Amino acid sequence: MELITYTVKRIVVSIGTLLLVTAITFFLMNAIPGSPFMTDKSTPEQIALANAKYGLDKPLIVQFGNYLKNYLHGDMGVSLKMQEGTPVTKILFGQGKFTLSMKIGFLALIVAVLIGIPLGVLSAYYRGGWLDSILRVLTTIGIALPSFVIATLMLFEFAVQLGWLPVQSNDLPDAASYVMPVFTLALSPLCRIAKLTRTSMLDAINQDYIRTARAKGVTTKVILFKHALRNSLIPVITYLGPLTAGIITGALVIEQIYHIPGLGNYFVSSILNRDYPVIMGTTVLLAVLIIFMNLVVDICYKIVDPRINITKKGE
Amino acid sequence: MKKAFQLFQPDPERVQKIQNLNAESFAKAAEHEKEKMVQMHKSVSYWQDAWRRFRRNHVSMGSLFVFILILLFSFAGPKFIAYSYEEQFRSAQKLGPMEYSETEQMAQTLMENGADGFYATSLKAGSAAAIRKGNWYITSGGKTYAFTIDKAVEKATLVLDADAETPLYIGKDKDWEDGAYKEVTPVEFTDTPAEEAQEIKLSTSVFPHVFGTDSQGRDLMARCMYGARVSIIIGVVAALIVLVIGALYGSISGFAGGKVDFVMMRIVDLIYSVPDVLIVLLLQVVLKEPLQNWFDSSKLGAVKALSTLGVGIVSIFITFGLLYWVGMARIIRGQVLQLKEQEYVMAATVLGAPSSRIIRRHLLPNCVGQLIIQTCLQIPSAIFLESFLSYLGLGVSAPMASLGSLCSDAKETFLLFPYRLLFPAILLSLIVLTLNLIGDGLRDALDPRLKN
Repeated sequence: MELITYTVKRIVVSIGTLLLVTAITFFLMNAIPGSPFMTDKSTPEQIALANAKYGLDKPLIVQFGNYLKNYLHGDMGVSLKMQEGTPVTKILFGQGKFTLSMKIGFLALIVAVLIGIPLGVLSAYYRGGWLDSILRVLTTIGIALPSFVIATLMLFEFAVQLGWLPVQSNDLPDAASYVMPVFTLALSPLCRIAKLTRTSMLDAINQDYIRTARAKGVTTKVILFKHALRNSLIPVITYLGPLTAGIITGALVIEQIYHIPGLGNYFVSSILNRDYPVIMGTTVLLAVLIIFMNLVVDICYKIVDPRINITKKGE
Repeated sequence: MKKAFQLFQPDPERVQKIQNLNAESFAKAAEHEKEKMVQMHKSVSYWQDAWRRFRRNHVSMGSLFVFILILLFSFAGPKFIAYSYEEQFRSAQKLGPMEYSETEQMAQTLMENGADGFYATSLKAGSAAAIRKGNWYITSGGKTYAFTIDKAVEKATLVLDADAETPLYIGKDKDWEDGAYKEVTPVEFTDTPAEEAQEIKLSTSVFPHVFGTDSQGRDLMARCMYGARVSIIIGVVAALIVLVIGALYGSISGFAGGKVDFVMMRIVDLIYSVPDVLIVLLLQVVLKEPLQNWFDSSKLGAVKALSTLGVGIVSIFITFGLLYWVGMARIIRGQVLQLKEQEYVMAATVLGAPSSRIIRRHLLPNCVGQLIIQTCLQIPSAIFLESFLSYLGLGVSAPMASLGSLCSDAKETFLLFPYRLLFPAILLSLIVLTLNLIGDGLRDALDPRLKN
């Protein structure tokens, strides 16, 4: 019962956030001077006519309502510059951009979790030892390096100097073209997860139940991997929300560097070209992704650890 | 509290001592006994204590040292190098680190062959890249050489060699072959300069391009110094914005409590869950035109100052002011919630201090540790965000440069000139890394309860 109220509350908050994001996007885009129908030839009458046709003469709040309605119907308008006249929905979903970005993003997420957690456990297991020290230094550096630096360094080393991997990944024709984008995208979250796992493992080790297990004569290995690890993974779960956001933002840079024609690449180009409907559509789509992921993570968190409270997450 | 009560309780050992008193006990205290009363240790203040803890943290101290070096490099460095970040040297394009261009090698050969000084127009930028028509003079070795140029000279070098047959001559760059000029134009000179003559300062050595130069012939080290300065300043200002807004909002929310706190914190929750980078990108796009119009139309001095920063940087600040203060606000609120139950707050309230004074004088000064830690950790994240935006082609716009935009400029030619990306990238990573480590060290030093 408590879980249901929590879920409902959390969904309401998510919808509120989503509304806020769409509202910010909408009003910001409206604040830009000029009309989408303004061309060299158009007369004021023609603009007024076009405004009336598309409902742009109505009060802003009514326009916002219409805009929300259109979005719910899957109508995001048409591109003004990048692919003139093509519906934004088609650009986002119909041309394989979304699947391409999802593939890389999802793989990066899996890599980050599957490598990050074991590294954190190793670090905690050998705490104070040389392995721990090396891992701590590496993870700190991994967090401090901007992703574009890692990407270009890897490009230089593995693609140009050694020639092991292709310079441009394009639309990922083979397994080799996945390696660099996925790893670059995963590196910073991987290091964060490793750090997080290490700290929460060490936290867990100081708990009473670990002392009890130790007193019963359970071996250190069993204590660490069976008792401590399970409980220390809870904070790691909360990180999956920000992780998604991080991977999405990372993709903006990574896709550009490796020439992957994905959503992130297109988003950056649309920003540089000021193609407003595309910017708006992509922002809302990415925001939905991030907010949805946060929602799922929070609900999972509540299921795993019923003690937490909605207002106290993360801190 | 506990200690205060102990004062009033009989100490069994002392009672024992009092009962065992005899005449000897009333003897005058000897010198060595008096010494016991001397306070050996000075009482340690909060800051001294924190500094002691910080100093013991080798990683943080090392980071602090490296960061100070970077600060010196970027703020004091420009005073020691001969190039500025925007000067373009036509003859020195696309040089590698420590490489010399042809004209620079020419000048060096001249000096090795015994010249006393040279003025190479090809090694100068802007209006200095030619010797204009007119009267000039040179002072060297206590002697004055005054001469007149009839026609402006470009792509040539004025050489002074006091011991040679022709002490002052001009050699054209195109006449240089195998370490010597094929032919030179001697310059006639007198001892007394004409009245309106201007001085030409001769160089005696070529300053190396330590990091190389870019495609426009700009010195990369000068640009890195400038870029690092811009990045650090952006980071500090953004962190200060976050500090002011976050501290005020958090302390008001925490101090007010009840419904006000609830509403204020829900707003924070909402902003916290907004995907920040998306909004930042959006703001960068949207704010560009209105900000530019505002800059162009306003006559206020402050706005003028902002407009020199450029639209990109100002919108970064606006974004920080809108979105990034929530973390700070949460932490300060938590602190204030604890602190406001303290006796001294009650005392201040009873004495009739208004809430604003209690927040200013009692609550915020007691959060100062947290404020410093959070601000310090905010700086690298601001630098990170700025470099990210600049790398994408938003953010800092030319002629300004930040480390991010330097990396962005270098990315097209990365495969040919990797060092152009490496130097700013290493600098950027070092700044972010050291600031993060310093922040961690500060947290351990200022708030030791958090450790373990």
